[in-house]
Amino acid sequence: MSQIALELLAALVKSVIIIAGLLGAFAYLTLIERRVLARFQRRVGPNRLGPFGLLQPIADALKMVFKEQIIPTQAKTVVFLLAPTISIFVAITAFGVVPLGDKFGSLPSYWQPALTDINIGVLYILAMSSLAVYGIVLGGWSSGNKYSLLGALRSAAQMVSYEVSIAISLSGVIMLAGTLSMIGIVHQQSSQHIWFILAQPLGFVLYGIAALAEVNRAPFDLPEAEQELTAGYLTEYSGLRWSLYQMSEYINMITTSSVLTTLYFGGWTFFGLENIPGLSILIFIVKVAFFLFIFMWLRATLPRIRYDMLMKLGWQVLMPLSVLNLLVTAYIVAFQQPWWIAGVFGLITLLIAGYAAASKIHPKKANVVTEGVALPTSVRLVKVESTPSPETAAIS
Amino acid sequence: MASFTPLLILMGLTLAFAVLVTIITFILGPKKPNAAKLSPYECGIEEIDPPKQRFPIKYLVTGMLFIVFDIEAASMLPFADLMRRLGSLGFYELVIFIAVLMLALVYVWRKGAFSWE
Repeated sequence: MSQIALELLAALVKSVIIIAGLLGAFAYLTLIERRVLARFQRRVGPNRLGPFGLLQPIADALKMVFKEQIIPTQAKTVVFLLAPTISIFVAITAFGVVPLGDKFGSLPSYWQPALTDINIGVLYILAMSSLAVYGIVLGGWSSGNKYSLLGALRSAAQMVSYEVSIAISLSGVIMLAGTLSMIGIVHQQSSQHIWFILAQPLGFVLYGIAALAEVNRAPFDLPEAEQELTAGYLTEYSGLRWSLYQMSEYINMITTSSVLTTLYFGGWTFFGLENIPGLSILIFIVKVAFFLFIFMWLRATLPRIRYDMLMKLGWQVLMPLSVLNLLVTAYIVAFQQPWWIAGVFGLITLLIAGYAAASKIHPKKANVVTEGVALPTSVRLVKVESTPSPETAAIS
Repeated sequence: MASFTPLLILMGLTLAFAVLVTIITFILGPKKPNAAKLSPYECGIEEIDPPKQRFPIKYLVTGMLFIVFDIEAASMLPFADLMRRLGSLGFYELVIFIAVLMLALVYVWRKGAFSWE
């Protein structure tokens, strides 16, 4: 067989593996997330179907397949049908440039467990993840429902605002690596003997926050804030086409975790362990799973933030900080300073920013004026009992 | 073979998958529409008022700001890629470029483009 036919075959096989793998990962992520969230809330979670509830995703999928598809009378039919397709298309294809592992020995490059190595890998992922806006906005707008429209508008403004910080904070890593190729960035980290998290702690945190907002995960899941917007852009969708939206959300999460792993945590490398054949993929999966767990943890812990705070955070905090990070990184790269200068600077900035945020959340006691305030007559003061009730006594 | 060809294959397969799912779900699902099902969702009552076709100007402002600053971010990427070779001159250029843009950011900030109250 000729060389080109072999490479095409390899690409075809890898594409099928990527699609099937992502769908499988999505199905079991839903189960794992439900179990993990349940544990956080001292519940058990779904454990009835199969051992540990392992058949639950299959049951969910079967239920979804046999649901009725409703096209509301107000919907703009063509766009309404097209929108979830756009969403899933963008989500899966963005994953295409992620390198899952090292190549096996001296075999030709199409044996490497990565679909392809394009020289603009990071730019490609950025471009594809910005296209995700279209799926959501078109879906929300074409539903002909005001909750959907509001959810779509919100998510458009949100994703667009955080896009900028994402690109700028990733530029720091690109400067250190001097390449946009995902495989190249991993190789640079092993040849410079650091993980870029050490040189870019600030960039890592900024990208993490912005990526959470970009994939509409808690605490930034305003487009689907159920208390205000029923289900946001998902309101009029049902069955498998609803699942397509869910799928794209979870696959975007996986892609984000993969980018975090590749760019900041050395991809498939782990202190020489990656040289054992076959272990590099496992290392990569473990690292990605770690970040996915952190996503779930954040969802269980943090309350959803208010919309005006969301926009302020994106434009007034994340963007100036990411520009600062970029400048410091540019300085150490251009003048060939050691990398730890950027690392120390990033840590100090993080500490200051964290302190500022914390003091905003918990203002000092002195600022809270409790006495001598003229209350409006409509406010009734409740008399506090002198003897503590059993609950408060137990807490104190 | 160009390195982009595998991505085209992946895109083709993904498109086929998405279209297939959309068709399957229409074939397998029940089809019993009625007027109540097809009306827009409004918590079980009749629709109070249809979605307005106009939306707050704030969203438009955010969109315009995005265009300005995302082009900035996009032009940062080749800068970042070449930083090591550009050396000190490149750094000074970057500082001037960013200073101008931060001026713009401060301007829109003071104009209140980011306050949503």
